[in-house]
Amino acid sequence: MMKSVQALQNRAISRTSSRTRSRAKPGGQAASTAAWLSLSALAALVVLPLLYIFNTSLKSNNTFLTAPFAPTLNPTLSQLRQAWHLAGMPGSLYNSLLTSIPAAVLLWIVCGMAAFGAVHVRFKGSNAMLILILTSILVPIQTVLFPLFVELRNMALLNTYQGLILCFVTFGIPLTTFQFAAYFRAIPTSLIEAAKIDGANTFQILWRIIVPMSKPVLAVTGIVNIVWTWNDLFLPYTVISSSTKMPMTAQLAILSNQQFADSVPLLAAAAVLGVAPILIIYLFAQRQIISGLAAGGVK
Amino acid sequence: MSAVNRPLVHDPRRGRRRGALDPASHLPRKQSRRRVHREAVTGWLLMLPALAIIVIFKILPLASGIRTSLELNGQYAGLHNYALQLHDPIWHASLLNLVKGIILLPVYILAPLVIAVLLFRKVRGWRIFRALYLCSYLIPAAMTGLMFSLILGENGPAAVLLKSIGISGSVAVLPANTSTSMWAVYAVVFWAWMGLGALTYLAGLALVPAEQYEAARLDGAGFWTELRRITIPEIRPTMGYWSVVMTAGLFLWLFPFIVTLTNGGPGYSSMTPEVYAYNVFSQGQQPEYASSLGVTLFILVVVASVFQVRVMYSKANAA
Repeated sequence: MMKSVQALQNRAISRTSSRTRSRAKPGGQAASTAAWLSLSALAALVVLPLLYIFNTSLKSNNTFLTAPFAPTLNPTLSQLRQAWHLAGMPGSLYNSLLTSIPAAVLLWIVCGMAAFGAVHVRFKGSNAMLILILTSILVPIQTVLFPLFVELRNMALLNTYQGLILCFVTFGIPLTTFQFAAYFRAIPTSLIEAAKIDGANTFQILWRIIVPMSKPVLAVTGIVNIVWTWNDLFLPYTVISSSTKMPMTAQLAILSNQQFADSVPLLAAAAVLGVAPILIIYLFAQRQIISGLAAGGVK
Repeated sequence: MSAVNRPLVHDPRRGRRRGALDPASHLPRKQSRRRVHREAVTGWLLMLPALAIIVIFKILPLASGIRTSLELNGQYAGLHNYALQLHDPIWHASLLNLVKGIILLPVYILAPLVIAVLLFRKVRGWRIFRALYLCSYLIPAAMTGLMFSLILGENGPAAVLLKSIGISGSVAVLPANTSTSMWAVYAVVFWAWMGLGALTYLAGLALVPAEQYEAARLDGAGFWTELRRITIPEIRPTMGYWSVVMTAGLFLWLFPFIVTLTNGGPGYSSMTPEVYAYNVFSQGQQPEYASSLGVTLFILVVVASVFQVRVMYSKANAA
């Protein structure tokens, strides 16, 4: 499995190995051109909506009414500024960062430990416990909304960052543990036994041996969890009630559903704000994100 | 989970015969017992945080949700809430909309495979294509919904385009029409998830031995023959993974798209079980009924998962 992850990464990142290169294109030039054209059409389908939204966000309401689709020659930042203000930025951006990042880090710790315990410390019942954790993925958020809400209220965790982080961790545990366990299974037991004979305790083994070997799985789980928590609406809607604590995506979604937003350029500006952070990060960490997400599927 | 991962220390002892004839037998056994005990403590401690969180915030709420679903105003009411579901037109519409999604499932599963196969030919700029397609997945789903509510909405570019090719005004605004709103949601979801699907398949394709294609090519196999005879059988594990992801998505992850694109409307023409369960919960009037909807959704998810694991398992055997 580790081999496959490595192979995958080499391919996904560089794709210059002679084997993949040697795969000739069937059907020759005409088929290649047809493939290129279809891929370009698809790319246009992805890019045009984004361009339209960006272009619209730069229009004033009047410009939009007279020329909704024309390129904006006299761009105004007033819509973006208003959306920024209405969405409670930069506060809501901080809310997102302060919940997404701690949740991802906690998931690393909690799931990494659990997977290591189940796969390499093996004890009576470890398998059953791992199965319990993994199958709990079948319990959807939607099923436990009301009881969870009551429980969080009793624990005074409603409308707090801690409450939201805890919920993110709860619903992230099964998938993240699965990814860690799949990765840890490929680490040879002999390596861990050797460290034990050298007198290393469990903590030292985890920190000195497992963590340095686990960069690929840390990357996948980190990316998946941050993307998910950043984009989620369900848990913020359920846990957070005051707009000053609402994460950015949820805040923008609420904004777009309220009546004062019948201005298309203003809504477009809200969408631009919501899309920007993730796309900016993607611009800089493209390689890592692509290889990280690609590794998710091959197990 | 296989026995291969069992710590090696246990194995030699397990294999050794222990009995009265072996004078030193009690010594290593004591040591090993102590060691097994210590290992178990370490193991439990490592798994404890995850287990505690799962039990407190998932299993207990699930149990209490099931109990609530059998109550009315704090009194036990048997299957009353489930009986209500049978006469709830909005719930029926939601389930029907889910069925529409399941009908589309083959498209969601196969379209990204075709995209990945095209990308895999390494046409000029394929890396840029791959990076662009993934954008649509990374964008927050709620923002994708918001974006398309403007694009497909009244006077948006899509509506103008549809009108210009002669589709009448009311039908051209896809999300605002009862007969097209759910399909509009599914189209937007397609837009959002295809890039990730293509990337997933691309990773799987890299592991298919190149010789197979070369042999097929010598035999003069065309694009579709190659896809059907080599790619699909070889890529089954990835396909299984992707179909599980897509099914979970259809059942549980459409909320942010729907909330921002149609909000379940017009009427309840684009309502799905998850959105309806949330709506009933958030209105706060009928927590018991909301819980019963949640439990029904849970049962549906379990049934779908069992079915899928079975299909995947039999496919894995066949392959």
